Amino acid sequence: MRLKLFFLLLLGISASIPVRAQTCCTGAAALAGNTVLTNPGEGQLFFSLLYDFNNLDYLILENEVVSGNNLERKTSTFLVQGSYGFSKSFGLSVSIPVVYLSQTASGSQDRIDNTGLSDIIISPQITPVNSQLSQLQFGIGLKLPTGSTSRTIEDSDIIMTPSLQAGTGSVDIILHTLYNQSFKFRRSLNLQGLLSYRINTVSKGLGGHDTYQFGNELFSQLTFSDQFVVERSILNPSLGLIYRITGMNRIEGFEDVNSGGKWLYIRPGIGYIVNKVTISLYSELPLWWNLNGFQLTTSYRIIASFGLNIN
Amino acid sequence: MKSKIILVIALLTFIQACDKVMAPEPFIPPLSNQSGVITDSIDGKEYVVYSNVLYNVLVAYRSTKEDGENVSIIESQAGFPIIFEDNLGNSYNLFGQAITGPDQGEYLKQANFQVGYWFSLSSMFEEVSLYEQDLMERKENQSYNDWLINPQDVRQGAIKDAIPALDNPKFDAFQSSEQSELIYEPEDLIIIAEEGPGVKLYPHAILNWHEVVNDEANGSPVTISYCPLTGTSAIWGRTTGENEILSFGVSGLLYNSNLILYDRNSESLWSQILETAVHGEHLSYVPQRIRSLEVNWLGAQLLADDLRLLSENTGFTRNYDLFPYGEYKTNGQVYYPLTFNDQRLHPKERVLAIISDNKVVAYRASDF
Repeated sequence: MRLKLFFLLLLGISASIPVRAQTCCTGAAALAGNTVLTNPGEGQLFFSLLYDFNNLDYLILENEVVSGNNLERKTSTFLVQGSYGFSKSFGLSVSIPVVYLSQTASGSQDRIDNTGLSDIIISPQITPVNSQLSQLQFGIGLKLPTGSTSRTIEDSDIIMTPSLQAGTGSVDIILHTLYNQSFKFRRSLNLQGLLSYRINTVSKGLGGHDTYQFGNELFSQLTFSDQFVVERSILNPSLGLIYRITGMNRIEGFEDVNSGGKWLYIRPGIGYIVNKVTISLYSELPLWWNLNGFQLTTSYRIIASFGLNIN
Repeated sequence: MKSKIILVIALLTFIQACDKVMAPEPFIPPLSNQSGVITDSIDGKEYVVYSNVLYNVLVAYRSTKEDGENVSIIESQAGFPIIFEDNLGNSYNLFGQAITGPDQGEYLKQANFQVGYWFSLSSMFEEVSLYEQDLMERKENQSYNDWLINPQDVRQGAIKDAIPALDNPKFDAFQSSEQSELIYEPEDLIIIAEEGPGVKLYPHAILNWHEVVNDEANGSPVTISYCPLTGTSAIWGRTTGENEILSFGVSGLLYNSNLILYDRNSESLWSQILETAVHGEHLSYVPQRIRSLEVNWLGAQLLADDLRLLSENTGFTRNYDLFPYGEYKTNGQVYYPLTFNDQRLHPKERVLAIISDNKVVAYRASDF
């Protein structure tokens, strides 16, 4: 029944996204998969440090990778996260990202880069179902415009392009639901479904534009994981699939035809748990995409995290 | 529970609807075969402006021969591309060259003009008036240390060289008598440069993706530039007063959404519409303006027997049939804030602006 509910909600939210949905650069906005944390349990604090490296060097035109691409963008996000369980069914998580963004074009010796605090996300969560085998969580996150949106090119007054700004300048709403299911025949085997929908509002002044609005984003992730005891620690391999849809960005109210789209990624990962410490390493590799127009997109992504559970 | 799901969907739909912005109507160019000539006087200088809707041409010259003799000009009835006749018995082609008459081979003096979207040309200069309308006053230009324009009004649309310029371009030669309609659509605009007895053709379709071409015309180094955001083009000589040959690239910077080129020699920045170096070592340098114009593919094939068309074999993988900015050519979108937003015309109406010092008069196709 709960699974049915989860997929019903997924279907419902998917239906509300415009079919023309596309987006190019989300600047430094962190992907939902990295910012949703589970309720660690009543009175418990979970703290994590996450490093996300996103390599964007696939230049896509009509869904084909353009050969001889001369553009490359790299984003590194350091995410400090905390999640606290006020009760078994109510928790709060905070994500504080610091980003390093760089972009280069071959033929030019210049590299443009920017570093800074990005947009902080605060997300209260309720967990109506929290049993030994299953967990269902809903959250409404608020992304605050704490990152700079008008950083200038070094030694000049010229405002950098939106894709190089650390912040988005908008207050955005992130709805998410997370479902965890373990199984009686093997309790360490876990199926996790995450569905997130980000509603982006209009930003004023991002990258020198009067108004700029990133396309809304639907993020869904399905992950199988298992745990194996190795001496006094636990290995936690996982394999996930991510399906992401973003709507077209709007520049001065008009759709940016070179933005947005649909992506399918595979996300293999391995975790190592010892006592209260969790160390994880994931990668995200694109399997398929359907993007509008002409845009730079991810060729690979690497995510490393260090987590600590504090009673 | 179903009602809660419906509520969530309704809420999301409502938020989406709130985000929608009312867009202005797209600009629809006039549909006619109308052509005509306007003679006008700006700051005591006489000009002649020619428009032909069928071939989508707007071009202007001084009503003065290069030897300084003033002439009286009317539209020629000889048929395109012969466009003018003067009181001395000369007939002139689209490049302002007398092709018959006593002064055959001589040219009319060049006028300093630009053809492009109204929003860009109306935002760039201190004084802009529409033909036979009052002048619209603007704020005066100020000086900004080592810039000719306010650097705070400059925007970064992309990083330097993200849009790759073309160097040593290839051309496909063909005769005007060949059946070549299938290469481009009749209405596709082409930038034209004289090359000996023939012409070189630089289609917007290719320049939409590259914006700058470093080439040669009549044996001299030139750069051809086109800005798809302002619809403006220019051909400049690349040789400086010190005989330095410049090579240009796309800086990724925009001023009133207009292309700013950079030269690879000194990294100076050059405004395409202002046709001047606006920052850097070459500050205030005005490049040599080379005789050029724009005409659609239908008209381009009539300009000369020998045509050399910029090849789509550019060394880059692009779809030159695709315009990279969607409906931008006709919709009301302007990517960046303007230093002055003159709303008398639709922002994407294509006009010809004669620039006399810092005074500008704009002519619409409907004025003819």
